Formats: sequence, C-alpha cells, structure tokens
Amino acid sequence: MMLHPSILALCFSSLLISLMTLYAAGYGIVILRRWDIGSGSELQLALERRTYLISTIVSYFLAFQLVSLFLFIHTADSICHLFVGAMCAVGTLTANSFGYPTLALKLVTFILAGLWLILNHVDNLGYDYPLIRSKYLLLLIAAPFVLAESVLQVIYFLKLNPDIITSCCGALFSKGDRTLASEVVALPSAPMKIAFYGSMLATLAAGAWFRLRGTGACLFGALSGVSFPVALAALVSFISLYIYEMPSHHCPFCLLQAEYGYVGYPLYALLLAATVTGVGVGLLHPFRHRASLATALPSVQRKLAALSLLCYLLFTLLASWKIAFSSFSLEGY
Amino acid sequence: MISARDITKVFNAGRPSEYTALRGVSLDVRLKETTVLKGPSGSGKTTLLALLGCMARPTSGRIFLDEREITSLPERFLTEVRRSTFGFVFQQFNLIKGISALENVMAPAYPTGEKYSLLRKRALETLEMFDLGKRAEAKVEWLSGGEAQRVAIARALINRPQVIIADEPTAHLDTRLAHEFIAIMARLKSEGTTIILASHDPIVYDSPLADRVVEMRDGQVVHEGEPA
Repeated sequence: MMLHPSILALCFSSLLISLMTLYAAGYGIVILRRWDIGSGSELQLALERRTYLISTIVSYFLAFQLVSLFLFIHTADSICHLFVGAMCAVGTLTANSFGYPTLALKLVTFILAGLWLILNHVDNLGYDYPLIRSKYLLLLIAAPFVLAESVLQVIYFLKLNPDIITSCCGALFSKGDRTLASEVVALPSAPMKIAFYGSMLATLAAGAWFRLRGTGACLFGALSGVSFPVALAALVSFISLYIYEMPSHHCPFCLLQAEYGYVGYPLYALLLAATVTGVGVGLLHPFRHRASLATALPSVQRKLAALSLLCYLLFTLLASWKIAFSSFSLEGY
Repeated sequence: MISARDITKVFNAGRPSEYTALRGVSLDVRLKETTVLKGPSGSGKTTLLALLGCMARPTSGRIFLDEREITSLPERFLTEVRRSTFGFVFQQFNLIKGISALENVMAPAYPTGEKYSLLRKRALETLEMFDLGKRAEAKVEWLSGGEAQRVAIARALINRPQVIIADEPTAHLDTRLAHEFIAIMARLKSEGTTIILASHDPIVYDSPLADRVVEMRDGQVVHEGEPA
C-alpha cells in the first residue's frame, strides 16, 4: 500500500513540508522575540537576510500543501477498489480511525497555508517587512497542525489493511446514526437551501460592497468563513442529491468520480479558494494603516475580494445549475 | 547625504577563513561632492564602496541614503535603489565581451522596461558625450583602453544616477588616460553628480576633483578631511 506512487508522494511531501515548517517556526520564534528593524545589530541583519530565503522556500512548500489536499482525496478515491465494501473515498477513509482526522487536518492546514501565503505576499510588498511578526505567528500556529497532519497521514497509510471490510458512503452518510455526517444528512432541505443561498447572497453582497466602497472588509471576511461550513453542509444535505439524482445518496466524495463528471473537484476548489481569499481580505484589514502598505494593501484586498466573489459566484452557479437541470426533484422529500 | 553608521563586514563568518574587512566604520558622504577613499590594498576601500553602493550588505550597522535606511530593504527594493541611484565604474571595466559598446551601455537600463528605441537613442547620446559615437557598434574587445574606460563610464551613466562609484578607476590606465578620467569626473561633478572613488593613486586623491579624502587602514577610517 505504502508503495503506491500517490501515497509515497503525499508522505514524502508532508515530511518535507513538516521539516521546513518546523525549521521556519523555530526561526519565527527568534523573529518574534528579537526582531527590531531599528537596530543595526548583527543578529537583526542576519534575520533580515535569512527571512527572505526562508519565506520563499516555505511559500513553495505551503503552495504544495494546498495541492496535497486534492491529491489526498484523489488518492483515497482511486484506491477504494482495494477495500472490500468501499465504493469511493469514504470507504478508504473509514478503513481505519486515522482517515477522517487526517482529512480534517488537511482542510485546516489548507486554509492556514492559504492565509499564510496571502500574508507573505503582502509582507513582500512592503519595504520594511510590515507583516513579518504576523506571518511568523501564523506559521507558529500552523506548525502543530502541519506536523500532526503528517504524522496522522503516515499512520493512516501504514495502518491501511486491504483485508478488512470497510463501509461504503451509503452507510456513513445516512440518517439515523449519531455521527456528524448523519446529523448533516438529516438537515431538512428547505431550511438548508435558505441557509445556503442566504449565506452566499450575504457574502456576495458584502464582497460587492467592499469592492465598491472599500468598507466592510472584516464583515466580508467573517461571512466568507461562515459560508464555508454552510456550503459544505449544503453539499451533503441537498446539492449532492440533485447531482446523484437519488433521494438517499448524500456522499460528498462520489462527486469526485468520473460518472458525475468530476464535478466535486471544481466545486471544492472554488469553495476553498473563495473561503481563503475572502477570509484573507478580512485578515489583512487591520494592517491597512501601515505606511509601507498604504498603496499596495487596498489593491491586494480588492483583488482578493474580486477573486473570492468570482469563486463564490461560480460555486453557487455550478451548484444551482446542477440543481436546476437535474431530473431529480426534492419536493415533498 | 549618504551616512554609514558603525559598519562591520565579516566574510566567511564562523569559518577558519573568517576575515573582517570593515570594523565599525562610520562615515558621511556629502552629495554633489567627490569623496575619495584612500588606503593600501586590504584596507577595506572596495568593501566600503560595495556597501555604500548597495552591492553588498553589512554584517552589522546601517547605511542611510537621504535619511532613508537602505540596508534593511528587501532585495527587490534594494535593487531599485541601486539601479536608480548608483552608477558603477569597475577597476577592470567589466564590459561584456562579444557585444557592442552600445549594447554594453544599454544593458543596465534593460530592467527598467524603457522603450528600446528611446533607450538606444539615449545610449547613443551618452556615447556621443564621450566622443564614442562612431565606435558605438564596435565590439568592446576591439576598443582601446581609453575607449573601454569611457564606455564603462557611459554605461554607469545610462540610468542617470545620482551617484557615480568607481573602484580603482585609474589602476590600469596610463597617466594621460588617468587625467582624462579625472577630467570626465570633474565634468560630471559640475553637473551635480556625487562621486565616490576608491583609489591609492595620487593622481586621483591629490587632484582638485577630490573634496574629501577618507584614509582607511585595516578596515577602519584613520583620517578624513579635505585633501592636503
């Protein structure tokens, strides 16, 4: 199992990302404690020289961290045929108790990595390292998650046993159990539709307002953060039903399969991109008064907001298109 | 004003070959004047020139250009300061062989994105200033020592720098060419260009061109003032 090319790639890349993140986090502790741009000390100048190199290397590693979420899901989906009872990534992830925690941590690290890349990009736009403490603080926060994810991922893959009988998505994403997945599945469709379209509308309106007036960045960031779980719940609760055209098939992973046109990949990519860039707009807002970012930051925020709006809009349109042109109807369901 | 404050530069720090080129140097270079760094080989002149010209970073200490601290600047900002503020004339001229004098002069301006035709026109005008218009298309290896020197100066001027930095500019020149170089620098100074020279050639530091002479030894400034 471990010799599967994708698993090797995931484990090797996670190892490298963890090592680099840990090294950079250690360096970040020195930055947080000793950074003093007004000083001409040997240590300060050494920190200035090294931060650019370290940040650049970390940014490449964290960019791969973004990709690794999709590689992980794709790998889980592509090896499901090795497990008795598995029909999609759900079966692979439930083959042992480390699958879902790994996926959850990959989601968390995806968002943290995305936000760090935004902070790093903006920091590089200023001549006086304006966000250096903030970005290394975020890296310190992300480091334990990255490390835990790498460890869990290796344990998960090492403990995969093809002889065991695992569950299919129909068993996990069904009503009646007391699991989180079952709770989400059991959510009534009409209120979920209202919640989904309401949150999307509110987020799009807040984003458009920010683009037009330049105010409300924090509101837009907060709404982006709220829309993410709402959209995920909506995917499981009712959007998936229209895509599968089955009243009881709620799996969020079968969307990634060829028979459904791999629609899950654009849906998840759009949602994650929209969330990270939207939250990024709010995250950057407290730094708008830094002199060295006075001209660059509003421009970056506007671009991020535009990207977020575009992704949310495309996500909503794609989901709505699947709902509108599905031969399945939820009325009375 | 270019101000260096408590500058130290250590090469190969922590290795057996560790070498301290500058030790706590503080210096003020006034703009629109000529400052000559004088001293024997190994005294730190070239290292200090490189630091003042943003070609290297100190191990400790800060450098200010018109009150703006420049040693902490991230590389891309420092590159912009270097490109727009300083023009360099190297001891060996460092012209790129295989291409013409004109292309050599244009080379430092390529990253600015200036329109090629305008840049070419400006480079030709700069070469004309030094009576090199007819040699513009000649490859640099065909140029005489004096012509190569003037091409190097023209190249240093292409981005209209505020400051010209020259390291041992007369080291490979005979007396006539050395005086010619001094004359060119005097002309640039009269036009408002700041000139910083490192030299142990009396033709340079005893010339009327020098407003201030900074004497260095063992990585330290031992004396600075007006030329004797």
